[in-house]
Amino acid sequence: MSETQADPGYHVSDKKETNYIHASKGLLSWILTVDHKRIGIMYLFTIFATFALGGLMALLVRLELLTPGETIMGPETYNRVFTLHGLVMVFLFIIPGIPAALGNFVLPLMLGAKDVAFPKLNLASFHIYIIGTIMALWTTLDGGVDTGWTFYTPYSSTTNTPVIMMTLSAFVLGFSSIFTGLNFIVTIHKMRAPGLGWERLPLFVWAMYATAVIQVMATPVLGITLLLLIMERVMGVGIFDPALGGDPVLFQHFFWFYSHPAVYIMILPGMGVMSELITTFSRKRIFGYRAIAVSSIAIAVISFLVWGHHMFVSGQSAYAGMVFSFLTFLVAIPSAIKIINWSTTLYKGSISLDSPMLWALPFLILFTIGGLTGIFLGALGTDVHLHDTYFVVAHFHYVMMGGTAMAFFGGIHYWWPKMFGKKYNEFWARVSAVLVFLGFNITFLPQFVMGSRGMPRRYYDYTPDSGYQIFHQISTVGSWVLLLGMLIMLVYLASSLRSGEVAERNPWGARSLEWLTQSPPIEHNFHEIPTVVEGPYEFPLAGANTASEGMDVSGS
Amino acid sequence: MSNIIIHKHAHHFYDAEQQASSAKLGMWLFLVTEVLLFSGLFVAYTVIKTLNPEMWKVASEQLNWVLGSVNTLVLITSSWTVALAVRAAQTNQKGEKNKQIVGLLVFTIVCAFGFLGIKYVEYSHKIHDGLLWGTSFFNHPEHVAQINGAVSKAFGAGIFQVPDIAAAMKTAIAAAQGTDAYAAMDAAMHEWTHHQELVHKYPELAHVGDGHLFFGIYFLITGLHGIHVVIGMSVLLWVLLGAMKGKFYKDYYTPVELGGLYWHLVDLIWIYLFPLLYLV
Repeated sequence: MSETQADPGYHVSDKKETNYIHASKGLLSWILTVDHKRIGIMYLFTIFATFALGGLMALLVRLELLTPGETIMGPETYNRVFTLHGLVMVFLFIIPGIPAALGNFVLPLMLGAKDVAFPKLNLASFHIYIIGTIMALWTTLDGGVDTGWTFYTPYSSTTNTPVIMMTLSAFVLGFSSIFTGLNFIVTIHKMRAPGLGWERLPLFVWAMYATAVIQVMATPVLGITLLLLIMERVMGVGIFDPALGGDPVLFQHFFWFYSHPAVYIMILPGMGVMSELITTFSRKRIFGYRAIAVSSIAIAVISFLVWGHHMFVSGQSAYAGMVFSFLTFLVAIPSAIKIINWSTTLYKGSISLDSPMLWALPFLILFTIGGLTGIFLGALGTDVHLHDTYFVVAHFHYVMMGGTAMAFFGGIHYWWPKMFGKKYNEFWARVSAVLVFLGFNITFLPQFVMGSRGMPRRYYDYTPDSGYQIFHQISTVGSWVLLLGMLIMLVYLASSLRSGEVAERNPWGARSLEWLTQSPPIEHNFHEIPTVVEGPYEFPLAGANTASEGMDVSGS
Repeated sequence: MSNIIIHKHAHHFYDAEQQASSAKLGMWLFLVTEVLLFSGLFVAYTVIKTLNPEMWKVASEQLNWVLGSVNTLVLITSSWTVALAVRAAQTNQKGEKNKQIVGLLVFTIVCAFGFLGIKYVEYSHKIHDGLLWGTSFFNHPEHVAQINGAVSKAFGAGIFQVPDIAAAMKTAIAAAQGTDAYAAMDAAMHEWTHHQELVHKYPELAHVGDGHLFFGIYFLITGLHGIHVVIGMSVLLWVLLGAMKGKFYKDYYTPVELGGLYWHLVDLIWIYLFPLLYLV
């Protein structure tokens, strides 16, 4: 299946025609666009902004924790700041994240399609996301919510902060997520180019498919949960509040039934990006294609069965705890399979350390650390000790930031030339990657230690003789290194848009369909829809001068 | 014999067939999300019913199963007529079935209005009798405390020690005619009397306690369902407008089919909630 071809028959024109960015002019042509590429770009910029906002909240939290007692804010404010950090990062950054900003742009191109199945629905997704974002930010004008992003009752049903507006915003954002997922599922089923069977799909597509399934099935449960919370606050219907006859653990079951699958909405796209980066930058076919594809689906399915591991100490029965613990161990297996397969792909590959790869390689280590520490938490005995400590905080930051965010940045760098037709400064990109990696570990590694020594999460304060201060201080300094790395990234990416070198069609020598289009693509993506004859990772042997050809296809 | 408007498929699809099958898959996926939305409520139903079996039995007996059954028949009939409308569109060659499609859609929407009408009757009866959620429930301790508090304030706390409270109230009010205290006494007496009537009307329910939990679930599920009935009606209305213009025929009937699918789901949800609330 890895024949090189002298003449592909499909004419890959390197002549630049009007691309999607210049196809029409004016603000309205962007706001009312149905072009998936433009929608992806608008999402990308918005998501950068929400990431910056969430990051600012994080910096403030870490600044407060630099010293015991009050450092820069009082305890009430602290609760609101860390709540906003969580809500913004979860609902405005990482859940939409890769699917909206990268998936929207890349998916139809990878499938050889002209657009997603429902372009207008796609636009609606974006505008709903904007409306939800505005609603969420509105709460800051009202003093901000202080419940933590998890909204546990009865505090959330009784506290005097703008919970209703915030939960309504999450409800609205849920629709954006559902519509995107729905769109992707139909697109992947119905819009593939001729010859592009399921086993020839890039693994990014498989990952987006699995993510979309979770989005469609889990998000409505969050919808009803938030609706019930609102009903409880507004109308006093007793479902979750014991004072009204309800059960607060019921809320936790409802909430985590969505929010656990949600973390797989967060990681699966990152894993999809990883498959693309690892193969392209080792110029080697993926090891265990089917295993990785199937493991994505397996993760999606099993993810619905483990929500109780957030509730081991909630008072649920020990029997339930045992079942959830066992299933949690099970869900780790497909993820481990991926890590092993990516690592094996690297073996005897022709590895280049271009900047996208400098995001992919750390993922292997950081996600593994995050995943293994998740196992500690999944074991009943250890979880009793570690629950609600900084150990948990470190665990999920390793998987969400060391995992998803790294993959997200890697994907941004990888597809940047395709999206904008420009190359960014490679040197500063490497500096940024190294700084972020260092900063990330300095921030979060100490948190494992202090968590296992008992420092609780979400706590405003700690005593001077607790021994935690040194860990907090190291962690805060780490956050500044992170900030530096991110600022550098912002500068060179923005600068590339203005004065970057023009990018070629296939600067990385990759083999999936999106690299057949010009950089940036024309509005309708392909001049002629290609017919696919091979898999997405068929790299030619060294010496064959087809490095920039891209996937071999036959003419249509 | 009105004409039909020939439909062109969107540019990003190869052909109309791809567009139609994509649309159908999309709608089925959306229906899945709706089912999951309601599933949370059915779980809440199960939990609260299991934890309060006696209260649940007594409270659910207050629902009018005759009206509920009529509503079930109405919805099933409307599902049937919308399916007929889809069939008519599928076999509409040149517009000869346009009137039929329109008529069937109109009948479906009328059925939906009927459903809402019966629900209005049910709801208003419950609202009047205080068969509501939370502290609005006629016998909720806080509600009762509030009524008794008003009575104490207006008549003095000693009124509860008297053997015939109603008579004592009437006497006190008659004596207070024309004074400032009259209004408060009158209001408090009305509330208290109304509450006594309800306790008398629903003795088992008043006795068993926590009835507000049942009615909370009842209004949440039927309320959310009612919202979806309205959404479905709006969708069908939009389809109806298209049908009146002659847009739907054998090569393009997707909106009718998708609207029909949505309506079937609305019907299906009712078919689950009717026995669970009214018959169990």
